[in-house]
Amino acid sequence: MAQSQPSLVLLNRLLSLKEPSHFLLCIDSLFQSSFHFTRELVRCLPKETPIIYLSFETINAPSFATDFLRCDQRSIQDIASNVSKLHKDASSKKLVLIDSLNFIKNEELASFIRSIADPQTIVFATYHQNIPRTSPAQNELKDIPPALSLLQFIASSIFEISPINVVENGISKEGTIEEEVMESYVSKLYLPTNICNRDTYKLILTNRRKSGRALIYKFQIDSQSHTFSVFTEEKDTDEQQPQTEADLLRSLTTFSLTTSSRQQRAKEQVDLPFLEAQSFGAGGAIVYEYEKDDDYDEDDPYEDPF
Amino acid sequence: MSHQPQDFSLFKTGEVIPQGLIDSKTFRSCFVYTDTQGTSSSWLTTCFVENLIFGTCYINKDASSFKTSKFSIKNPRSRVIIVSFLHGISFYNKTWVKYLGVDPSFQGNENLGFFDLSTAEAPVDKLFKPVIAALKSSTLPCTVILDHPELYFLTNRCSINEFMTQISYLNSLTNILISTSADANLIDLHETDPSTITHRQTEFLTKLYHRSQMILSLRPLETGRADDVTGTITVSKGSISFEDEVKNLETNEHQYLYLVNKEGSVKVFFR
Repeated sequence: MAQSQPSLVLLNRLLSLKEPSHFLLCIDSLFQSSFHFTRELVRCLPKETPIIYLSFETINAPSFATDFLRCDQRSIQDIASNVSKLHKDASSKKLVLIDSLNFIKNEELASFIRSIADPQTIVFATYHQNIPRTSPAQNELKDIPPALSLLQFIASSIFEISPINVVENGISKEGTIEEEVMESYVSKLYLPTNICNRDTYKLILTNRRKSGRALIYKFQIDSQSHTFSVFTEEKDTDEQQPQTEADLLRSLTTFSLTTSSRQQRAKEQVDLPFLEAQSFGAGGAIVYEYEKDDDYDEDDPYEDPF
Repeated sequence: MSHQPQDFSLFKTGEVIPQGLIDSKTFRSCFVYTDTQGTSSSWLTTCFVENLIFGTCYINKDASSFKTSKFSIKNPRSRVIIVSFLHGISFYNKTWVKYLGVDPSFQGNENLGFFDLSTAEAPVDKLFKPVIAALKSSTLPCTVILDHPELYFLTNRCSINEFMTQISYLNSLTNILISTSADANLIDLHETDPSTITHRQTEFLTKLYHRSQMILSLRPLETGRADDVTGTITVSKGSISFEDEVKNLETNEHQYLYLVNKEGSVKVFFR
């Protein structure tokens, strides 16, 4: 696939902190958590990158974390000041990993991210989309957007993680599950076996350029073999091999409704009218041919048909 | 029943709670098992207590297999502390006499501790104080079982985040198993009013799932009631995996059918 290479390069550059993205948002769910993807990110980081792990829900300090801060009983100001003191003199970029943004109040989210992220400090934070959001209390501002919308707005790159074996187009095979069925499980908080939290999963990357252009790519990540590949949707076999017009008309009637190959060649050789207008490239154009009775005055600009 | 009884295991090694998990000095696990009104998980709690203490499982072998185990209540594989927000110890005593060989008047000891918090009104930051004291004084590996802790925050003024902080602290000291309700009327991912029971229980469950290595779901049959099946038990991977010392542990993802007989014995069948 022609577009696969640049997208994989972009993913690798993002994961190795070579792209100018200060806030990487990872959106996960109960059915595919960011656990494995976080380990892939850590694997791709340049050596000696300091990793500050901010834990709101993690109990076991990961072995890759240079610093592990338990944040569940700290204010955001306290967390930010602690982070700013760590690895001040580091020559390379430092990574701040946040295991869950769901524990921070909506109105504090943007200022919290802004207080930590800078060109030398990259924030990679996970937001669990299945945790129910809370409507603002009576004494709070009603117009604050939901946390997920706000985070999606301020993030420079968004990683959306979902199980690989959930099919969207309704064609389920063995080992896969239809999206509709999965949604019914979501509503019951029921986790089907051999579908959720696998080593191989789907990743949708949204990368925002400075120009404002957003690039969206889909990948398949295998955390067992640490390989990334471009995700291709499996389509129905009927769609994969579209029937030709001739196939559709064959054996439909005793009349010959199809064209023979000789007739087809002759048909292709016929020049359609107005082909010259189409050859200009940029849209249509007026092609005017003078006839002998045409009265053309060179001095009159309004006479110019072009 | 045409199905053959199967061994109930949570790990690919065939174990319910592996020795490696109990022995680990650095890794702390969190397992969640959810039930509904028709599929109570109290038999599973007894199963976990037996397995943690004796290493046996009455579902898989005969009910008296714990007697032949090299472990005993005096010399357990792991100490167990049950913190129940639903029942007093008398609820468990009868089955413990049968499956753990304790005295009918057993009120708990240092190796099988029981804290009845069904009427607890203490502030959330002091709720687990006696449990933490018991854990800190223990020289043997210890496992805590929280029996329906949602009853505390659903009946007291306490935010889910405050409650989760306490559970996190407990979990940082030891492995924990948490039983909780997942009835359909308690779950609604789109509920935004934090004062409703549904919102609070859904928030608790989703936050708990995201910090668990394993999730067990006990549910009634979707096809309706059956004489020879009480419900299904589904063993699924949680949001986080086993790492470091216990990285080789692999969850045995399965769905079983189970039957609780009138006399209280349980049979598990592979689906």
